[in-house]
Amino acid sequence: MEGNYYPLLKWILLAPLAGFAVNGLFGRKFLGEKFGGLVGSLAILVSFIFAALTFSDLLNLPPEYRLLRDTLYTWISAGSFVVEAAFRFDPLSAVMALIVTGVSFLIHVYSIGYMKGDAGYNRYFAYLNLFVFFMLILVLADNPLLMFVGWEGVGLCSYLLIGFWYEDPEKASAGKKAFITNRVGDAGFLIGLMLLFGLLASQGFAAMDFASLEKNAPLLTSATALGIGAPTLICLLLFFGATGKSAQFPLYVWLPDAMAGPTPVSALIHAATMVTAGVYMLARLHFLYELAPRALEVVMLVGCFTAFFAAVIGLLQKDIKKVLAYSTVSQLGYMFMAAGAGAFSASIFHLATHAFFKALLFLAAGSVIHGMSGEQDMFKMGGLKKEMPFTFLLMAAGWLAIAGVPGLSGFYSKDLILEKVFEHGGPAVWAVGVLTAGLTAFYTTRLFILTFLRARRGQGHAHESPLTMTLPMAALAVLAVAGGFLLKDRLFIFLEPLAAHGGEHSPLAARLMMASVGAGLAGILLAFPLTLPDAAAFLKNSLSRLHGIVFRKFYVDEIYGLLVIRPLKLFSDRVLFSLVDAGLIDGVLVNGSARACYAAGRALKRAQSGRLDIYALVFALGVTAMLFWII
Amino acid sequence: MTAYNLAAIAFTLFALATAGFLTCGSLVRMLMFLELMLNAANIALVALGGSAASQAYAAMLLVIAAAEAGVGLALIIALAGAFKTLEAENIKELKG
Repeated sequence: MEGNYYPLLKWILLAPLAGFAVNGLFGRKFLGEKFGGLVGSLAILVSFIFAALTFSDLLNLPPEYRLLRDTLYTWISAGSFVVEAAFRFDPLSAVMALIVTGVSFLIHVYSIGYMKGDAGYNRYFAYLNLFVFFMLILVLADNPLLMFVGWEGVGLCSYLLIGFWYEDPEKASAGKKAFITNRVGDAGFLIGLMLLFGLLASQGFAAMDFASLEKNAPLLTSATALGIGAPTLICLLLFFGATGKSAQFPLYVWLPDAMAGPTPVSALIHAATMVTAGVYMLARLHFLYELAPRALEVVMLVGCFTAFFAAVIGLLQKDIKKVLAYSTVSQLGYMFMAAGAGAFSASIFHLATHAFFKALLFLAAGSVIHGMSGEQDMFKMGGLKKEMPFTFLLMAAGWLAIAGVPGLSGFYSKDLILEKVFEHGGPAVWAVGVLTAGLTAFYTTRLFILTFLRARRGQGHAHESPLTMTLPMAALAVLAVAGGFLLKDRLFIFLEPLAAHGGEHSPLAARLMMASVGAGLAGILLAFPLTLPDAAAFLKNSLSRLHGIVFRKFYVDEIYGLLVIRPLKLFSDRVLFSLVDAGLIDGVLVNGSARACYAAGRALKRAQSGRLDIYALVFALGVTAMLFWII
Repeated sequence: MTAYNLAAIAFTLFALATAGFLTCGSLVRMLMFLELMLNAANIALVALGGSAASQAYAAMLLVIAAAEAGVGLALIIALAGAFKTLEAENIKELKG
């Protein structure tokens, strides 16, 4: 096997696992609130330091040898099918590992302040550590099967953290919704993996690590399954898994509801790390997707549609976190658009910048909610500029970054994506992307205005958040402002094998950039007059039908309820419960067997008359019959 | 007397004893009919066997019949003490 053996790799993973064990087992009794947060944050810091050390070692290697591997043990061994618990550290996983551990560390520190006084303080940090552990497995895994372990693990932690305040049935059911929706996607992912392994094994190649897969994948081009090319089918199934995890249409519905969890969780899981798993998976398996241009087309169109659709819903949300949730769905759509256009490194670039500015926006929103003592309705906020000056400034950085103001991180990545999409996807997709950029600028500006500017509309008092919360935000703000500029060329050189389309710009680049920047600025400028109460009311009344549909989120939840959940519930109740469980299992099998024994006993007891003469008669008849038979 | 006639006597005796065993109600009579069945078997053994072994079987069968009568009468006396009756149809403890 190629790649250098690098034993330090496992420590990146083990630190968060140790943090989880310590906080989960001994947290409440021995650590308490004072040390629980500290241990949790330190575990991630250790992990980050190891990741950074590994990264610097990786940089010292010549570019073509940049692959570090660490095999723990053989996980599955069934005939020629062998899967090892192996990890790899190449440029792609290096970028992901640094983002995951770095952003996670900042969010852990922020959580120390945000979760102060919560009854489940240690449980919270235990879950958070466990999440980071699984995310790192996902990112560092050297084969798709181990990646799937991380994939499921982050789903589990997402469920645990969304339903963190499980006493509230609504929040608990939001957790369940996320888990079940993800499960639907995971089924697709799993079937895709099985198909991939099965087809490769039938060709005699049972090795499952990514390097072998990349080498053997071209063998699949001639194979077909269900009438279409095997690579296309596999890619579509895997992408279906990605739509679940990365909240793309049609499985995005869990993400807005996932805002029921604590805000740092939204920042960590539902903005910066877990939801990017789908994008990472696409980039990791780019060799497979490049064999399936039709699948890439689907990815691009779904991404494009989701980006636009979610941005439109985001326009009218009242809840500050819901706006950011739809914004996340929309931004993930951008990443898939880029991946669909074949520009995987551009999508990773946007993933990185998005992790910075969206985590920042979520944390700032959390700071606002914290300062307003739990208020999330933007229409009860306003004028927070005075009371929360730090949060105001930091939120402004995140706002301008996502809106695509030139020079900030969102500008570079979004622009690059739109340029690639124009080249490979055509002007129509590009136009939707530009329009979405305008909408993005509009709704984030609306959020900013309603929260921080103008006069207060509610009675609530606000106070600035403690330093443990503002400092991590400041660090993220620096990244959100400067990250794009710092990363834009270095990242592409680093990700070289991925960046086949990366380096040079098309001749139209400058004009395309003008268009998207123009859309962003127009969005920002339009938001100021249109969010005035009179203008908003006028628009609402003149477009009341459209407003109603958008405000009710296109009735997607209701449609799902009608088409999926109700038939499923009816089927479960009528067929599975009444017929199968109560009727067949309870009625026929359990009570039925008892009743059959009882009836048999009643029938046979007549034979036991207790009368000796009858027994003798029967005996004599029996002997006669036997004699008759013998003679 | 031919062996054929002797066998016919043994068979008739056995059939009559069986019919008596099945029809009579008293336990003592049933025991007596059982003895008759054994005697029928004895006749058949002596008449048809012809060898020394069958003679020995016949002698042993007499002893077993005596022992059986002793055990059977003891049981009947115990049953009569417990149930105050000797009619088989009145003793139905085993009825299901």
